[in-house]
Amino acid sequence: MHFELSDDQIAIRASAREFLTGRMEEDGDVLWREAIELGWPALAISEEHGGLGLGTLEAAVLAIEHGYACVSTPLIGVLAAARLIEVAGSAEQQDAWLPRLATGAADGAAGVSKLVGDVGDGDGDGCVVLVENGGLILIDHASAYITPVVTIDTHRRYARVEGTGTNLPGNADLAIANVRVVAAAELVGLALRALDESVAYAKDRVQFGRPVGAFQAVSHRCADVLVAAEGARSAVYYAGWACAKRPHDAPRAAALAKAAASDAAREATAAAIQVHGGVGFSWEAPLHRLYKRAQLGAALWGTAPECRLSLVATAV
Amino acid sequence: LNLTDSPAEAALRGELTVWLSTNTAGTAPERREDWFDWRRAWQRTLASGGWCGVHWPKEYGGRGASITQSAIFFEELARAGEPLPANSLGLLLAGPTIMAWGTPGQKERFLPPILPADEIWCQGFSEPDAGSDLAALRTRAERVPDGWQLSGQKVWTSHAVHAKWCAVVARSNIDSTRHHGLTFCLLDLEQEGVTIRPLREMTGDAHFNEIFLDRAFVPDAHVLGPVGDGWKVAMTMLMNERSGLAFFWQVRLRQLLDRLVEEARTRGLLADPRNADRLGALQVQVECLRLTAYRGLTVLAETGQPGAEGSLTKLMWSRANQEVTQAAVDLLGLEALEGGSEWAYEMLRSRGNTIEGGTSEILKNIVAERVLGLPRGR
Repeated sequence: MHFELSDDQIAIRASAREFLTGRMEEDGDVLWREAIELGWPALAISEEHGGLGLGTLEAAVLAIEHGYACVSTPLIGVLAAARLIEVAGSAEQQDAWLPRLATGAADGAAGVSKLVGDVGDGDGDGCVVLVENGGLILIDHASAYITPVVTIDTHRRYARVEGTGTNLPGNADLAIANVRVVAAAELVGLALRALDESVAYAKDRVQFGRPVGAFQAVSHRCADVLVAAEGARSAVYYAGWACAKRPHDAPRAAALAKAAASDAAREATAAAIQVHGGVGFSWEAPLHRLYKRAQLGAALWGTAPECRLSLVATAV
Repeated sequence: LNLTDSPAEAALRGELTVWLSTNTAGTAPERREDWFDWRRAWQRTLASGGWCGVHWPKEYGGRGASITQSAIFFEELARAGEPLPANSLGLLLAGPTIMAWGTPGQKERFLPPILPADEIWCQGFSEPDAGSDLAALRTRAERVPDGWQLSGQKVWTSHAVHAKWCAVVARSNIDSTRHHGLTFCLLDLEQEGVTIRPLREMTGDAHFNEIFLDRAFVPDAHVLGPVGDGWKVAMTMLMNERSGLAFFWQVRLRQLLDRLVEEARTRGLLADPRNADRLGALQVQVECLRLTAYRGLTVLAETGQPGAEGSLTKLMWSRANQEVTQAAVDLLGLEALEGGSEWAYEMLRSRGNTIEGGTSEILKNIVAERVLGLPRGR
């Protein structure tokens, strides 16, 4: 038993942290072109399809850092589309899309018709995978109707997507579980970032003659956030591992991780705003960016209540 | 990252499950006051099978198992529905502390009778005015020929009525304050000058005791560690969760929740989404606890030091235990509140979980200061 990241996974985390630090304000498309050079879209695509041959756990490690940095690249959408096609796609669908997703030649996104994250205007080469009635439909940009939707998370592109496509014939539940882990991972990253921002501010900000972090009303809320964030991180690690090693348990584990991460991210980002006081409520501080992304992330790929109900439906 | 057993871990788990399939403590006695003797007999059975002190080094009669193997022991013990051995404080706290600080003579004298529960241990730290603030303790150790005389009062001492030995921290330098001038004594409870009075808890049980010390004698040979350095020895004892015992309680909690979900399903209560959502949330809590505990175990196994995760799991477990048992009472209704209801007992017992072994408030201070690096507060 070794329930921590391997050295290789820690290396992915470290290089992602180094690459993304301080880049929240940068143009997402520019940043994404650099990320393509680093091989990020290829990370969780099999070697036979031109990828690096790593799995959902490694994708989750990367997604945590993406959430932590709260940057504007379409990484999560590309990872999601690639995981769905890899796990549930036919050989032709895989051959058609995975090599191009891996090189960044094609865009990818996935979600429900009403709101898909990380989907561009659809002008370029790319595809969208929609979850519909528990199944998965692969739609080429050429036959997709993409209507941009402005959300409170203005630094990520969202759109309504309709169109005709082909079914992914494989195990949709398992494929969706893989994506849920990645989505949950980004939320864990947001929670960890929000906590770090809270702690840094609480050490520094002095009121009543002492750092506000010396007040238990503040420090205990931070401790509660740590419990929630680390608990969710543990659930994401397990679910990512289960996707490869215990696929029969992956849907349950992924729903559980998503429920934990959705709640942790919303609470951590809300707590960060509160700990920062008036500054937290301002447009200038980055906290509202974290908060808004957490709200969208929590709403997509299964809300916490939806995930919890699915746990009880399958339990015992 | 890998949650499957290594060959050595699988071997121990396999050997243990085979042993547990033919050895059992048997049904719990009807009266809870008889449970201690039942668990004492069970410890002797465990010891005869070589299953006591799994994490103790072989030279002291243990198995010399790794921390992960010891956690597996507690996990499987709970899964089999068996109770903890009676002398847990001796096995998990006093024994390892004596190994760390004891003289060869002390190790030889005190360690062997712990394993078969021939001598039961208790822990005399808390006092009426020194609970979370242990350094405020006032029990005095006065110098007499060949030893020390202890006077004062200890409280919340589990199993003292059954115990032969009590690990006591006392103030040996009367002019000292806080954590200075303390000495760690191994006190024989079977003597004049020691009065033990059971304390009844809110469950109705009386596991706790008060201990009144009136010039109780501790010979020099029974002082553990240097005179005046008792705080360090006490910290060794308090930090000595190196056994994986938490995995026993974590499995118990899981079993409790599974029973509740099953009971709710049988009664058709899951059709109400409020119930289903609540039970789903508890599953999330309990599973996050389990997985975080595995991360903590990995850090401990690889570095020998508990990481951040270790301080989080007690907070998670105690809260989850309270919420699971409260949910049981809410879902199952009035019958769960009848006297003798097991759910009611578990709910009442769980109120102690956020107090014993460090209150949640103190644990959050520790997390805030040592894990998050926030300034020390009050």
